[in-house]
Amino acid sequence: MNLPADDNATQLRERLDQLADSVPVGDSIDGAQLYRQGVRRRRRRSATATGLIAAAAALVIVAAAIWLPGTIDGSEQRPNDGPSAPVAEHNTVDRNADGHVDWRVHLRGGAEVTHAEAERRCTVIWHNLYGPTDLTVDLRGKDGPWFEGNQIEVGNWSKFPYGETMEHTRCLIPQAGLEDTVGKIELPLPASGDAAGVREACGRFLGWDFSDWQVLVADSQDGRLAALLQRTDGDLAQCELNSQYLNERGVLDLDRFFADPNTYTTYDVQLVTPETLQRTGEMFGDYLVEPSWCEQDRPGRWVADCLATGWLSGPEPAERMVITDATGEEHEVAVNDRWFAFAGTVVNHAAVSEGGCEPIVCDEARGELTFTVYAADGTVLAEYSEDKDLPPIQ
Amino acid sequence: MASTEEEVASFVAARHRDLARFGFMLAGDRAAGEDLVQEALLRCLPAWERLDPLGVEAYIRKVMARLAWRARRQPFNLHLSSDHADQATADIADASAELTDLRRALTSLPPKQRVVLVLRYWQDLNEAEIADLLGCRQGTVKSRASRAYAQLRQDLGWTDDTAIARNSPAAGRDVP
Repeated sequence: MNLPADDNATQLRERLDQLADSVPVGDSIDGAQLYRQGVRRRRRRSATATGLIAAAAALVIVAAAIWLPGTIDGSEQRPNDGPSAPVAEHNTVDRNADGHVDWRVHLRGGAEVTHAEAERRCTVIWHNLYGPTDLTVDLRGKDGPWFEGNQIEVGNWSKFPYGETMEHTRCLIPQAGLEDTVGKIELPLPASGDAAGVREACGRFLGWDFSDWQVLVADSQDGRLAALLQRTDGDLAQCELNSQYLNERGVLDLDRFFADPNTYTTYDVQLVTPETLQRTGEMFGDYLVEPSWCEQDRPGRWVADCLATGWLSGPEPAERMVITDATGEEHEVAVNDRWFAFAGTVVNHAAVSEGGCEPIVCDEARGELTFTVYAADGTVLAEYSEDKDLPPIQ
Repeated sequence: MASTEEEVASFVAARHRDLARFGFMLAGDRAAGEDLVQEALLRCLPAWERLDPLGVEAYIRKVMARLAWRARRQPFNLHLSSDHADQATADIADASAELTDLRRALTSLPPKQRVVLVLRYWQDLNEAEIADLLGCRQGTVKSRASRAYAQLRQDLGWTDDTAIARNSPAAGRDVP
């Protein structure tokens, strides 16, 4: 259990104090001006609401036209030409003599590429994402060697069209010839037992060929896919896909993503070593998992969408895990030799007090999920409630 | 009697510095921290007259914490490279190596982990208070805090038997 000792926590607090004190804050903002800005914002919102009503009315008219026989054939609508899915966070993992990770070191098996080729592939990805532009992706920050699977810092994501800061982002160099497939995931997502489909879907997220990887465990439910894939040398792909945020072309709908303030993560595929996931599994003690992978994605919802893969630590091999939700319904978590995957939907007791907490978004969530972990012979290895039984923070 | 505009101006003049520090710690960045302060104030303005004058600051801090908690990762998930973390530490006035490393490690945490860590270890709130503040389950707070603390220790090279004061600077990054 990686919980701090008293002394360390105290010292951390002192360091955080020093850090906060070390930052020179700017001149005080003009409160009166801020007040006037707030008034203007409210007026703008009123205007926006009016505009939305008009837009909604227009949509109704268009929809009616589509469905009226002999007017417009809905089947001829062009697919959404929006941007494609992005490259996932990816960590190339290897350690130098100090035990620290060198992010430049590639996973085993990644082919070396030239800087120019790496930039070309990342430029192709950019164009897949945001449509053809004259932008040429400039990778920077570190000298080579450059390997497929490297995550290289990008120098000019600043032209990102959504107005969000995109600094400090990186491009994962895809495998040769797969740059065009990055992010293009065919829907519906494959079923749990469709190993070829799982490999294909997860590979298309990264531009990575998983055809010779083994699907260790997979769970596909409710438009979500959680899977762990393993290469013969041991490297893992942690694959968590959620079609909720994909458009009909199977690419991330960034318009929707950036319009929704509640969206936190959509999906992710990472290449990791087994030790990475095992270390995470050991972080909470025997058979305990991080429950926050079952989170409601909207304020006030009673159900939570789960999306997780990981490893169950503990002295005895775990072969089965069940989540009992707030209604008493049991949800089977796919487990294979301690590796698990879950993509189900559970009910929690998120209660919302609409209008009772303005201006903070009402998202009070109090619920309870009970986890039961079994050995192969049915012995209960652990049973715990996410709220009551997780070890307290020191 | 002061108008709402005057009350807001007076409050901001008196409390901005502390709120900006709080914002910096939540966001891991001075500019983003000041944005948090402004956004929280703007969100609270419509309800200003209904807020208990003694509780205004606590309420604004709550809004700031929730805004920081809700800060999403970009669709391109990312971590700061050491290069950028070095640039980011430029706004620390008295940047000792220790503080620079701490700042870098804090900035590298995912937003939710950073928020929980700051509330737990800097603001000294317990997990129930943090769950209340953020509107999430205690289990979520526990797991995020554990992860954040473990990641921070790893990034800073702290070990169980090594006092913080003796720790060496972070030399690399690991996966979250």
